[in-house]
Amino acid sequence: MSTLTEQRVAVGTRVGGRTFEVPAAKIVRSIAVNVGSLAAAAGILGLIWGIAAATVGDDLPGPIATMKTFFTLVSDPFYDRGPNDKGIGIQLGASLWRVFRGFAVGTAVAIPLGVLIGSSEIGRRVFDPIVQVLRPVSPLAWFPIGLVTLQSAPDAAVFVVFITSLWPTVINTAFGVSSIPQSHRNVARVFEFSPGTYLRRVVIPHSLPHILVGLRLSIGIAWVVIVAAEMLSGGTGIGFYVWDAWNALDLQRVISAILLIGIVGLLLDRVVSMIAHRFEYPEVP
Amino acid sequence: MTLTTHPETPIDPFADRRWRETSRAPHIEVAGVEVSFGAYTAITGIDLAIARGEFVSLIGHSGCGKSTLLNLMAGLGRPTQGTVQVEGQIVEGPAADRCMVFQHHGLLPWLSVYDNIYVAVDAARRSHTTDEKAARVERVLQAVRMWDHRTKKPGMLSGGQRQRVSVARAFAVAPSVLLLDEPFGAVDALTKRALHRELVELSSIVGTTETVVMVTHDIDEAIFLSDRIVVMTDGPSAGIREIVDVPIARPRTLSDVMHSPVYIELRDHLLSLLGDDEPR
Repeated sequence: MSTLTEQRVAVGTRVGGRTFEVPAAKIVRSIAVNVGSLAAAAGILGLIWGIAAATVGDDLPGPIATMKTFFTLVSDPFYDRGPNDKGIGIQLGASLWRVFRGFAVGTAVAIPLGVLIGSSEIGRRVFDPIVQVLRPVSPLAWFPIGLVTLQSAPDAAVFVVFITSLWPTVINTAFGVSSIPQSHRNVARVFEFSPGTYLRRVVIPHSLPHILVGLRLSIGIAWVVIVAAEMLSGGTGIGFYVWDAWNALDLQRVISAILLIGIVGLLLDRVVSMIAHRFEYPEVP
Repeated sequence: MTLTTHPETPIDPFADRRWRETSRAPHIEVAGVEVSFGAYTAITGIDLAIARGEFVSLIGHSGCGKSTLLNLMAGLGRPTQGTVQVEGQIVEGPAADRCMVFQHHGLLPWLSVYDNIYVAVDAARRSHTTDEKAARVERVLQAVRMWDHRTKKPGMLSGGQRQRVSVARAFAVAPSVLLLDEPFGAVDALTKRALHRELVELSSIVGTTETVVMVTHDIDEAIFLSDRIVVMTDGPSAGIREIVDVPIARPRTLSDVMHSPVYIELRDHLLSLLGDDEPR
């Protein structure tokens, strides 16, 4: 999938000042390959699912029945009929808004912390043990802490996302900042870069690709965790929706929600990866 | 010292050195220098005086500490013993007036060719106006024939082009001392000749650089460019084996050197100094 995407990006892009012409036949073949492999993936998934549904029996709905439910849900995503009956789009939106807030605050804390750990020996000695001890903790274990400090279950879910999105960004930022090659440092010293110039022209451009890798990992885990956190918090959100559907023993809705969670997660990843692509530069041998 | 100004000749703001006292003291003076890293002594007993306007090459086998010595002059390293003085001042740290061309070009890969040079000029020559700095960048890039490639990033350039930009960047800040650390080590022989020619041209076109020290392991390169060649012994505890004069008037062309009666003699002498590892 990723190589295919990269090929698509390379079509018609300027490399080294020359635009490579891509013949139409090649584009058509590339689209055919993409569509074909996606269809094959869906076919294999449907086959396994169908066999599983047939073996388990009536409790697990099959692919065709579920797809009907899926399209019903997607066709009217934003209806609102009271607190316990909202469209799937509203639920996803509520979850995304929580992820966005938790992720934004987490990033605002994680990047400066990473710079501190990566650039100063004292910073590393003080903060690295804290990161190492707290990082392996399941984010859901923080839920009660969020509940007690924020006095609100939905905000506690945001708090869990905040904690989750810290670690990958902290660790990758610290690595990026600490891995500035000696030759770049020497250039900055010889040409008498001011601290501000050094930060803007050396530290940030060198660390940015690493920071963006951290952000991509962070938002991925945040999206995984929000579903679980909302099962605990209740109220709104796609996690609550899954739990609610399960309590109604409506597995067609559960599976439809799983598919949507996956698709939204993929889109989030693509967005961050597209942003990261803008900050890439050609490596110098 | 009295300043005489000639209003009819415009003065390049980057080349303006009227304030400087001209003196007979060496431009660079290395005295009793030793560098050790723990128990390992890289270089020891180095005494070297370089006059203003001289081009001096440091030549020796790999690991003989020639780059270590150059780094001391740049201020990127400190001697364990002895002193390095430039303009009569003890070198305490790096400064753009003692500018370095790094072995592996040292260009910032995320900046375009233009920005790489502009950022350096901007940082090292803060008192100049934006227009003066921009004009300077254009001038050096034209001089190394890289103006057409100014929007490219270093990763899109060939090895020779990167080295051109690196040399242009050093000239752009108009240092009085230029330090070259095996600047042409990674480029092929033909490109190397072109770069040598350009280095000589650059010195005359944007010539503010007075003194040049170059580390190399290429005998022909050293003969073509230098007034004196400092041959170092092998490390550890490397020192100066011999300082060889190149009695050919500068600026030179390649054919001046090739047809000079002393060329073969010089080459043989340097080869014999570098060829056997035992001190004679």
